[in-house]
Amino acid sequence: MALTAHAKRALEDHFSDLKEGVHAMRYDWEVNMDWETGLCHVRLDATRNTGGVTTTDPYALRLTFDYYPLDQPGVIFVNPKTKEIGAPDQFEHWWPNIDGNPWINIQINQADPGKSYLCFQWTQEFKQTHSPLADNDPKKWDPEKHNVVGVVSTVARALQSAHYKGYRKQ
Amino acid sequence: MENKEKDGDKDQDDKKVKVTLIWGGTGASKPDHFARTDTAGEVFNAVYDRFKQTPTDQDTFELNDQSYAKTEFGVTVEKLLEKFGEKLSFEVIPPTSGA
Repeated sequence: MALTAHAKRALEDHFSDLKEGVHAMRYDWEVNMDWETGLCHVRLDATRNTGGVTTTDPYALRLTFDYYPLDQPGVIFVNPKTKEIGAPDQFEHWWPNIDGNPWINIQINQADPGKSYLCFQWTQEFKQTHSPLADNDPKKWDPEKHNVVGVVSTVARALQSAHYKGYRKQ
Repeated sequence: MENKEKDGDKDQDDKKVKVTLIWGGTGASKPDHFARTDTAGEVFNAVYDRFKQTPTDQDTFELNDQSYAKTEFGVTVEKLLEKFGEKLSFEVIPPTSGA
């Protein structure tokens, strides 16, 4: 879905922090925004240490902004090379295993990969699959308090944490 | 007299330490200056003021990308400089969790 004028204005405000703000620099994000289609891809890395050998795994997040900034952006992982969601027997090769981290629960739908999602309060997919949070819940999405940069930062934090174990399928 | 006062203000500014304040919910950052005798708690509280945010008891804190415990809020900027070096980034992260 193309960006609404409201979403475009908000994204223009947030884009410099997404592209070159402190978190973008810290986690070395590569941001590719298509202003026509409204799709944004962010390449980010995860590092794992296996038997003393350090490996860097590339990931690609696909962000959508149908109801942004009033609502959370949509956030899923896609194939870093093709930017496709992928077939049921493939897609877990580009979704991470971060089980046990406190910020994000990964919900995998093996029958329908397009319905796999990152489950935390700041994603559109969370909103579509959960009851609304109470207005006074500090985790509730609030455009005065959260934006797309905080969303990507949360994913980056999980990928850089000790909970990261590699791709769901190697 | 006026010049002396200005010089005095300048001396005070020179003694202050430049730090970076970050609001984790948006990744927005701003520079600010603090005295070496100010505490970590005072600097973290300044994040709320500078970004017009309200504290919650579920917020978490990071100093230079490392988790920072609230029990350490009494530590002075001077001590933090000794431990972490010249560049200090104070970040307050609003809560979220896997659901």
